Amino acid sequence: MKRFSYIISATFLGAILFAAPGCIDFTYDNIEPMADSTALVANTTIAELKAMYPGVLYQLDENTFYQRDSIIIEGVVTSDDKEGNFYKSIFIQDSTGAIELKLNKTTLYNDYKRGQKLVVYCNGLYLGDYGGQIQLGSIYSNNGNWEISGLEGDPIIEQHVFKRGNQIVEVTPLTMTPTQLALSNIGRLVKFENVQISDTISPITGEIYTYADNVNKVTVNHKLVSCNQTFNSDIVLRTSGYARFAGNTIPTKNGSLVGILTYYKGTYQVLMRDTNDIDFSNNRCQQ
Amino acid sequence: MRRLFLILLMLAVSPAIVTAQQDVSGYVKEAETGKALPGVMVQVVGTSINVNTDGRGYYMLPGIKPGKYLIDYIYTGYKTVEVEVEITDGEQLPEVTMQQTISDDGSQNFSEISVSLDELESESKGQAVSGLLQSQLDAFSSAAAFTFGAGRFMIRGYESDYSLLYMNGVPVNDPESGFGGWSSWGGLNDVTRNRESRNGLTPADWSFGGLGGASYLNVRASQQRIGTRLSYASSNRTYNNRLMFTHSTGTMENGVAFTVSGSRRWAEEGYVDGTNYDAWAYFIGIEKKFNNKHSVAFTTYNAPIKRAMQGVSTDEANLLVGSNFYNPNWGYQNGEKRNARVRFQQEPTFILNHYWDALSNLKITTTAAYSFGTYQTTGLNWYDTQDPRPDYYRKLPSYWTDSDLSIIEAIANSYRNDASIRQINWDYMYQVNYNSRDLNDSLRSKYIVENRITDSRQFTFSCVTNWNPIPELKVNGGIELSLYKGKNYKRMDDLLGGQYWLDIDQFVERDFFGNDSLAQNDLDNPNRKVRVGDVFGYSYNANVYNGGVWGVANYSLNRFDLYAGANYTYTEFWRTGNMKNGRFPYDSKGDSPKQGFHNYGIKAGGTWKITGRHYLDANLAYLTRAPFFRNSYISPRTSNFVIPGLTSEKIAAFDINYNLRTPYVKARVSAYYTMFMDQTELKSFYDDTYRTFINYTMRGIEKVHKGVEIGAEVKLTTTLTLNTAAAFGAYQYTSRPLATITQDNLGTVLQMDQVVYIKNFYVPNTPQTAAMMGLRYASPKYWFLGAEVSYYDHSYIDFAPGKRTTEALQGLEPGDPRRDALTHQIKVPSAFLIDANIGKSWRLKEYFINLNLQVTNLLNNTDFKTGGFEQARYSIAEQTSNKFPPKYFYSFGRTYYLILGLRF
Repeated sequence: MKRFSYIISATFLGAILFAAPGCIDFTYDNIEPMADSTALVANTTIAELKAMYPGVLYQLDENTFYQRDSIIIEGVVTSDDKEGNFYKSIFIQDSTGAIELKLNKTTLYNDYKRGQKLVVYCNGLYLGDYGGQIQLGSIYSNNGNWEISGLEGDPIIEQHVFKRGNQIVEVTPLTMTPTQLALSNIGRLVKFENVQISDTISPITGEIYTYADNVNKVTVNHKLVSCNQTFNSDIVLRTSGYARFAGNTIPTKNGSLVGILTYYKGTYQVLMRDTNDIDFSNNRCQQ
Repeated sequence: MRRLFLILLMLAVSPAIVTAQQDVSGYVKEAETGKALPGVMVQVVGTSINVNTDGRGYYMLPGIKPGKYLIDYIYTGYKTVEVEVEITDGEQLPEVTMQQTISDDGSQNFSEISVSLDELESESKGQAVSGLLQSQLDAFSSAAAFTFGAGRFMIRGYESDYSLLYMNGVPVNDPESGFGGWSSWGGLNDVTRNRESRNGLTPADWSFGGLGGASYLNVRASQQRIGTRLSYASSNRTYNNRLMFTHSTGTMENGVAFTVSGSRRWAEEGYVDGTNYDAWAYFIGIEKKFNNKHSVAFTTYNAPIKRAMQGVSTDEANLLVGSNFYNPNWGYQNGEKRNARVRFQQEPTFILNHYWDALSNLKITTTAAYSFGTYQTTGLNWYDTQDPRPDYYRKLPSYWTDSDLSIIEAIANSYRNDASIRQINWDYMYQVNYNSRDLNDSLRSKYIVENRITDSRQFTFSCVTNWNPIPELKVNGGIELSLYKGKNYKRMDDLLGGQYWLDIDQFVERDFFGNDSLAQNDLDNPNRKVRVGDVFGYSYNANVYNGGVWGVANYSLNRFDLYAGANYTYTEFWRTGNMKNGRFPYDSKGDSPKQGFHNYGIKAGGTWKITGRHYLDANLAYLTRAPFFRNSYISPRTSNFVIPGLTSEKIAAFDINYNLRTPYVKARVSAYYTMFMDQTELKSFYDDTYRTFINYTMRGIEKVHKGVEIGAEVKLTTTLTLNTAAAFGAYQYTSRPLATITQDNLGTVLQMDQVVYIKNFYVPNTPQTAAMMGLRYASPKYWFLGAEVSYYDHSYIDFAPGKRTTEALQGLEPGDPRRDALTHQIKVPSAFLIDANIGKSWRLKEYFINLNLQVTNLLNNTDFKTGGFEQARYSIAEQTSNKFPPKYFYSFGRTYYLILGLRF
C-alpha cells in the first residue's frame, strides 16, 4: 500500500512538471514588414473629378459619370502633417491636378508619407469646397447644415483609401509663374522662386514676426511678394498656430519657397510642410 | 433530540486524567483514521481564549475559570465541532474527533478571485478578499467570504488595507499601498488552510489588529495535516486546470516536521477572451522541535503568476461586440491572440520562526522574514500617432453622432465584424514602426509595449509575547518592524519592429516645443535611445520603514470578559529618485525629505455572557493611521512633492454584537458605526480643460460607515441546514473635501482647495445591501447538495470628483438636465445570483477521494454590474460626459469549478 502511494505521488508530480503544457505561450513572432496594395485601377483623373463639382455639396455615385459605375482616382501624396501645419487632410495629385482629401484622423504621415501612391474609391464620398477650394471627403451635420468633413476614422477610410505599394515617388514641385497661378493648380506641390515676405517686422513689438502665433494657437498669413514677376492674385505664406515651427521667426531674406498651393476666396496660400521647404538666403529685393 | 445533537458532534469520551494544573487540556483526532489533528483552532466561545493543537493534536486552554462553556473546534476542511463542557477544576477534556467535510477545501478554492479589474484609472486597487479569511467565524462571515464575493462585497464597506494579514507571524500587507498580499501565496491552498481570524475590532493574541480585523495564516509544518494530498481541478474561470500536490510528515520521532506543496494553474484562455494564465507555486516548511520549550521553523514559498489581463469598456462597446466581457486588451498577431496587458508577479519569501514556551504561562514567538518580489504589468505606449486602444472614444459610433446615419451604421458594423477594428491592431502598429525612419535611417518606434515594474525588498521582524500572570489575566503584546524598499520603473518590453524609443515626455514636447531639456525624462541621458530591456521613463525607490509596539490585556470575570489595548507605530517614508527629470531638475533625483508619522490606537471592549448560549459583546476603538506612500506623492514618478496637508487618517469605531448559540440555531446580529477623518485620495487622468494629464488630490475626506449584519445557521433536520446572512449598510461621505489639481507635466498648481461637493455620496464599488439564503443537504452516505440565492443592492460606481465642482457647473442653472447628469451618483441595478454545489466522497482503505462541483451564477446572468467607475474626462465645452460614459464591471456568467481530490 505504501508503495502504491509513492507511485501515485510520483506520477502526479510528473504530471505537474511534464505532462501539463510546458508553458502557456506569452511570446509572439514579429510581424514582418509588408506593402499594402490594391487591385483597384484608376479610371478617372483628378481634374475630371474636380470638374464634376457643381458648386454645392455633391455626393459621388454611379451616375456621376456616364457609364462609369466606379469612380477611382489615383495620386501621389504631397502634403505632410508631421510638423503640424496640416490637420486631418492630405493632398494628392496626378498629372492633371490635385485635390485635398479630408480624413478625420491625425498624424496621417504615419500612414501616408510624402510620395506614397494612393488609390481613392470615390463612390459615396462628397465633393465640397471651402472658400473656393474643392475638397473630397465625407459630410457632417453642423447644427443641421451638412458640410464637407473628413472620412470618419479607420472603418470608413479603409473602404475608400488604398495604398499602392510602398514605393516612394519623388514629386517635383511645379514652379509658379503668373500663368501657372491658376485655379487648376490648387492643391499641387508648387515652388515660388525669388520671393520674400513683404512685412517681416511687427510695428507693435519691433521684433521679427514668427510664422504663426504658437502661444494662442492662431494661424497667420504673411504676404509673399516677388520683385521680378507680377502675380495677379495675392499670395500668402500660411502657417497654423499648431505647427511645430509656428514660433520660429520668419526668414527675412529672399529665395525660394516650396509648399502646397491652397486657395481661399481669391487669395492663394502656400502651406509649408516643414522648414526645409523654405530657402531664403539671397538679399532682399526692392519691392 | 439531545442525543442526536451529541451524535452530531461526534464526541468520543476517553478516560480523564487529572492534572495538577489549573489548565484545561485535551486532544483532537480525525474521526475516520484516528490520527492526531494538528493546527485545529480551539476557541472558548465568549472569551478571548483561543489556541491551536500541536503536532500530537494536543491543546491546552490556560486560565479558564470553573463554569459552563461552549468550545468550538474549527479546522478548514472539517466540520466544526461544538462541545458544551462544565469545568470544575483543571482537567482533561474528552477527546474530540472531527470529521472531514465532503466538500473538503472546495469552497476556498471556489472563491479565488475572479474579478481582475484592478485596472485602468485606478491602478491595482488590491483584491477584494478581506472577507475570505474570516470565513470560519460564523454564518455571516462565511457568506461574506464565499457568496457575496461575486458581488464585490466588502465587509462594512472597508477596503482591504484595513484588514491586516499575517503569514506565520509576518505582516504581509504591502507597505507601499497597504493592500493584502493575497496573490503571493495563490495556489498554495493546501498549506494555508489553517487560519485564525478576527472580525472587526475583536482582539487577537498575535496582533493589535486593523479596523477590519486581522487574519493569521498558520503554516507551521508541525501543524499541517499529516499525509499526502493530490488534486486536480477544472474550471472555466480565470484558469482551466489546476494540479496540486502536498505532503506533510507531521512531527516525526526526531522532532522534525516537514511539509512540501506545489501547484500549477493554467489556461490557454480563461473566461474572458484573450486571457491566458500561467501560475506555479511551491512551498517548503521545516520545523524542528528541540525540546518542550523550543521549536524553530523555516518556511519558504513563492507563487509566480503570469496572466493576460481583462479590460473594461463602455456599455456602448460591449453592446456592439455583444458581450459584457468584451476585452479590448488583445488583438491578433500572426493569427494568435496577443494581449497588451500581461501581469507577472512573484514574491519569494523566507520566514524563520522561533517558538519559545519560556514558562508555563509565558510564550514568546519571534519571527524574521525576508522577501523580494516583482510586480510587472505591460501596456501599450505610443508617440505622435493614433491611440491604439480599440475602444478609444473617437473610434466608437457615438463619437460620430453628427455624421450620416449610413456612416454610423457602417462604423458599428465594422466593430461587430472586423477583429482589426474591434481589437488591438498589432499589424498596423508594426507597419507604422517599419515606416518610421528618422534622419539617420533608423526606425524610431511609434508604438511600444512597455513594462511598468515594482521590484520590492522587505525585511520584517516581529516578536509576540503571550503571558498569563494570573488565570484571570492574559496579556498579549509585541513589536513589529519592517524595512521596505520598492523600486518603481519602466522597462522596454517590445519595440514592435522598430529599433529604438526616444526617452522624452511627449505631452511636454507638444506643449513646450522648442524647450529641449523640459521634455527630458532623464536629464543625465538626454534624448536617449531606449532599446529592449532598458529602463526608461521614470525610476524611483519608495522607502518605507515601520516600527511599532502593541499590547492588549484581557481580564475574565464570571460573566464578563473585558479587554483593553493600545498600540504605537512610527512610519517613515521617502522617495529616492533615480532620474533627473527635465520638469523637476531639483526635485526629482536623490533622496526626498523624509515624512514621519507617529500613530497610535486604543481599543477596549468586553463580552457579557448572559447565559452559556447568549453573549453580548461590544468594542470601541480610536485609531490613527499614517498615509500610504502611494497616496502621498502628487506625482511620484517624476518628483518629490507630497500632497498638500498630508496627515494621518483618524478612525473612530464602535460595534455591538449579539451571539446566539443553541444546538439548532447559531446566529449573530451586529451593529456598527465607524467614522473616518482626514482621508486623502489621489487620482491621475487626462483632463480636457487643460489638455494634459493632471493629478487630482482630495484631502479632508470624512466618511461614516454604519449598518447592521445578521447571520444565522439553522439545523432544520440532521441532514438539512439553512444558512442566511444579510448586511444593511450605509457608507457615505460626510464632508466636502478640498481638491488640489496639478499638471502632471510641470507640477504647476492649476487649482488650489477647490471644493468638491460630494457630501452624502456613497462609498463606491461595494453593495451596501447584500443578503443570501442557502439550503444544504448532507447525506449520511457521504454526499451533499446545496444551493443558495444571493441579492445585492445599493452599489454605486466610483465618481469623478472634478464634475462635482463649481467650476464644472459654471453657467448651468439649477434645473438644467446637464447639471444633474454631471453631478448625480450612478447606482447600479440590484441583482440576484443563484449558486449550486454538489459533492461526494469515498473511502478505499486509507485512501479518501472526493469530488465536488460548484456552479456559480446558475442562471447565467451576464448583466450583473458589480460596480464601475466614471471616466474623469468630460467635455468642458458641452458640459456633458456623454462621450466619456462610465465603465462597468460585470460578474462572470455561469461558471463551474470541478475538483477531484485524493488524500492518503
